Amino acid sequence: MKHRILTVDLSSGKHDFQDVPLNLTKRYLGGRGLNAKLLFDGTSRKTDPLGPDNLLVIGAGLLTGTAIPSSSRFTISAKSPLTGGLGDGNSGGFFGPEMRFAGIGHIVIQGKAEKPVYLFMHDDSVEIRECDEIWGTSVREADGMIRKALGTDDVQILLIGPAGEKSSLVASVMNNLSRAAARGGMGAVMGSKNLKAVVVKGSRGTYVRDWGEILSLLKEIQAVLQADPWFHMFSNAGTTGLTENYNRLGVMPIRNFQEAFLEEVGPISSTEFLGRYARKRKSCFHCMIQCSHYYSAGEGDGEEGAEYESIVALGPRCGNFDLKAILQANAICNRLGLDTIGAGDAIGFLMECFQRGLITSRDADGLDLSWGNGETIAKLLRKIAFREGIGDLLADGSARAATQIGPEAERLAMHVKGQAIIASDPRGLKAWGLGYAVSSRGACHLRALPTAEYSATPEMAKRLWGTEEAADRFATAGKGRLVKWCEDVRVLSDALGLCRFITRTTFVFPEQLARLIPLVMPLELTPGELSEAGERINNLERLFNVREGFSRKNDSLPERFLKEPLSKGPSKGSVVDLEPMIDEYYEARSWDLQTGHPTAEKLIDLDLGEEMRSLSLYKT
Amino acid sequence: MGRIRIVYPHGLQAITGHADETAEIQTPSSVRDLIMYLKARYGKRFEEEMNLRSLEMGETTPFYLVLVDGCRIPEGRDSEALIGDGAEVALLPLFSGG
Repeated sequence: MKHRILTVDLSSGKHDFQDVPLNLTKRYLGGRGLNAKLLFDGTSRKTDPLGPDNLLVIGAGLLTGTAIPSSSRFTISAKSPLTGGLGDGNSGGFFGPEMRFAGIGHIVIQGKAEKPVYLFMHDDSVEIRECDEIWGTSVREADGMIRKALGTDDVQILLIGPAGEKSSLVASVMNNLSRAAARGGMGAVMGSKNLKAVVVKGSRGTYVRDWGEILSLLKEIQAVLQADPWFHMFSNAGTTGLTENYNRLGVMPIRNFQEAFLEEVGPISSTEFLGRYARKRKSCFHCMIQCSHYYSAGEGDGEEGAEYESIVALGPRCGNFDLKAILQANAICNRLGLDTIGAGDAIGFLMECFQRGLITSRDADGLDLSWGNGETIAKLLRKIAFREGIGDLLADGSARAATQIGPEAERLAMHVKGQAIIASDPRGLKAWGLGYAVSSRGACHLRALPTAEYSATPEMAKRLWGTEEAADRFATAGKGRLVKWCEDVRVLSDALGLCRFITRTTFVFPEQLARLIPLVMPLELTPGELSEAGERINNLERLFNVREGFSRKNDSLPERFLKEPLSKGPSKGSVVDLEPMIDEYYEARSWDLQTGHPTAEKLIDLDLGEEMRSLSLYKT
Repeated sequence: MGRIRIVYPHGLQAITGHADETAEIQTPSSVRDLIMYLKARYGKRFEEEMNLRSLEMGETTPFYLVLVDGCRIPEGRDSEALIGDGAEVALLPLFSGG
């Protein structure tokens, strides 16, 4: 099985393949891990995120596209135009596995094409094709035009919509029409290179050591899934089922995080979604869970989603409780190539600015910015994608928009490092708040995903994180160790290309993950090597951000979470006491308490000495 | 006697027949006593549902989380945790993700 890095220079039109050196595979695995290494080495502090010298790295996980179940994931990384630090978006679907079938682990795209182009790869063949006629079209239109031009449906396509072309910093990169690598402004980086799409067709097989072992593994996993009611619930409702649960914890953001609890959540619940709009379940590559859905909400059939994050971002965060309008807004984001979280956050922010008299309807092209106006939300999404009128301001996300509106508005922008907060209020989930603050890509729930905060037993919390309080969502103690532990195991999912929902089982642990690798790769890694790789990747990402000037001051949360207690619901009265959690987190990571920089001892211990010495601040 | 509000998730609504209810019970009562009371009231299907087990990070845990006024009461601590007059008890299926 080939495991290669394809480098394409859009400026010169040249490309080359290189085998991934074994030592890089062992140190960084693949996906997010090796992406971070390629990005660290290939960019500098001077790199303009939207300039030709930025890299766009598309990385399949080490196990992506193999016989291991739920191995669909891939990561797109670049220096982020949204945060100025390391950026990435992760997606499921079928694109990552197709890369693997073409014998490609990572695609590194540099330079900038003179005219709009798309990249077409078929095993060892690589073509850069001009596509003036496709530039300006929606994701759905472009997908169809490319398939028609190639004369086949049997390809996988990664592409941007108008939002990416206009370098909106909340632009996503889409695949399979509705699946998004949405975060970090990766769509803007792709657009800045005049790159509309990346198309791949692979015809190689993948390695299997022994089919008998694979069948045994599949039976083992199937038995776990069938015995666990969680999987039945999740298979049925997907992440839409989270709406009721997060609301019941009092952490579902409403009206730009002014509140976090609804007395009546029924109209936007999974029951409503499944009963009225969902049409058919949908799976990513080789997955038994099948958590996604096709739905129809009045703008054609075959839209996919919607996820909890998108429902809340385009719904309650904007005061919108009309599920049909939310689903239509989700479809608009998919077609225009927008991050539902970033775009919804920007609109909710604008509506709160209006509520507080910081802007007027006249400032916003005459739109009615009252909370919950579904028509306005749909119009704003289009304006953001095409950078029209007020949309030009919002297209760079709420943090940058706030600096244009004024100091009072900056207090209302709900972001970390420029990236919008996701749909769980940290005032009722303290470890999540810490996870947002320290995440290497700006506000993010998936870096840590510390669900143990509300689901682990106190005994498990004491054993793994030193105190039973780690399993108390309102407590502060133990959360630093919990988040560090979670980050170091979750990163393995991203580097291996496995879905978070399969790795909530025993396959979250390095001991179990190490079992999988030799089944589908001619490679053996010990659990210890995997653990070290996880910690190494997190430290390299931190080092990337240190190089860009980040320090402890950037590990922050919006003032609202620190000073404004929630006024009602099960998390009433709570705020985040962030600094003690950051201290504990840095101690667990062996990072400097004052600066938040990894210590030289830790970096050398993780075999990151060479990377460390490339930074001037470690030379003194 | 005191009045408490009990909130049921979708899976339990099919058994109890409602999304929530107000019950009059002796207060303070323990969470374990309340669950026993509900099992007796709603019968075998409710009991089977509450006995479901899930896998969370490799460890077997109850599928349903019990929250009293938003605070989770882990199994094993439910005999100590008391429910007072006016409390809200929510039963939530285990969930993860975002």
